[in-house]
Amino acid sequence: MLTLEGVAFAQGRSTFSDHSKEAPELSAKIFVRLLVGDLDSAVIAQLDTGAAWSVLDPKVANLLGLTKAEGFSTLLETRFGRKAGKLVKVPIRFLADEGASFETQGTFFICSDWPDGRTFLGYSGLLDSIRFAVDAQANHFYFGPGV
Amino acid sequence: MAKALRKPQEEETRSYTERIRELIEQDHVQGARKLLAEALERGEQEKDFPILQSVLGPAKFLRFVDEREPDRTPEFQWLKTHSQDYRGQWVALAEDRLLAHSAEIQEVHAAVKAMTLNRRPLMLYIE
Repeated sequence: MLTLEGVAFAQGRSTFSDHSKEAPELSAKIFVRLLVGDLDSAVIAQLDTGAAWSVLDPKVANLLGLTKAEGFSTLLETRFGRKAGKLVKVPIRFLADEGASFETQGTFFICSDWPDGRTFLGYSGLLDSIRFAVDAQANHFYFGPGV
Repeated sequence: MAKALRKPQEEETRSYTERIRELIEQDHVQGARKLLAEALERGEQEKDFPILQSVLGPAKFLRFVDEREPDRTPEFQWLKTHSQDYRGQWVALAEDRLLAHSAEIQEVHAAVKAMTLNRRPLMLYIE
């Protein structure tokens, strides 16, 4: 799919949207499609390399029974203020338009006091462990497991 | 000759878990990982160490899946045209069809689960 000095770098590619139709933000962001847990429907998540942790939409988390899953309770400073919740390992699938989709188990912050529809993919325990690249001209997001 | 005054080092009384939690709360993830590694190296045992090892550890690769995501242009086109009418609701879409909508995600999920579809739906919340 994508190689770096002749070695496979990413096995999958998806086309990303750079504006959410729903979030009232003016600047462009990267929104990718995922499967979370054993949910049958694809959901949308915003890539956020500046965030220490990924955050899962609380309604999605509740639907999947993840609010009762074992986790580490903590407070985190977030874009929506200081929030109490827990860090939980969550299986997700990056959905590819081309190449292979892949599944990984990343760490997500789950917090009941979080706006609906907002899932973020942050750095620790997720983006720091995979390989990804962005072609912003073509709106392509390349991904694969870390080495 | 007088000895130089040195502030005595405060003895750490908090558990490793408390100190790791503090580092996590400060977004100092590397520090939290280092402290956990130190505790494990010293043979310390605290109740939360297994979950801390899990959540502070790297994402675990599970598998490749031979699945391709369909072109979602029809879904996004639908959103562009209709999202105004479904504010505050979850919607499930397949191509340009609205499969289900509700303020409750469980209702949308249940409705979609009962359908036979040849395309994976896209489910999202409209703010």
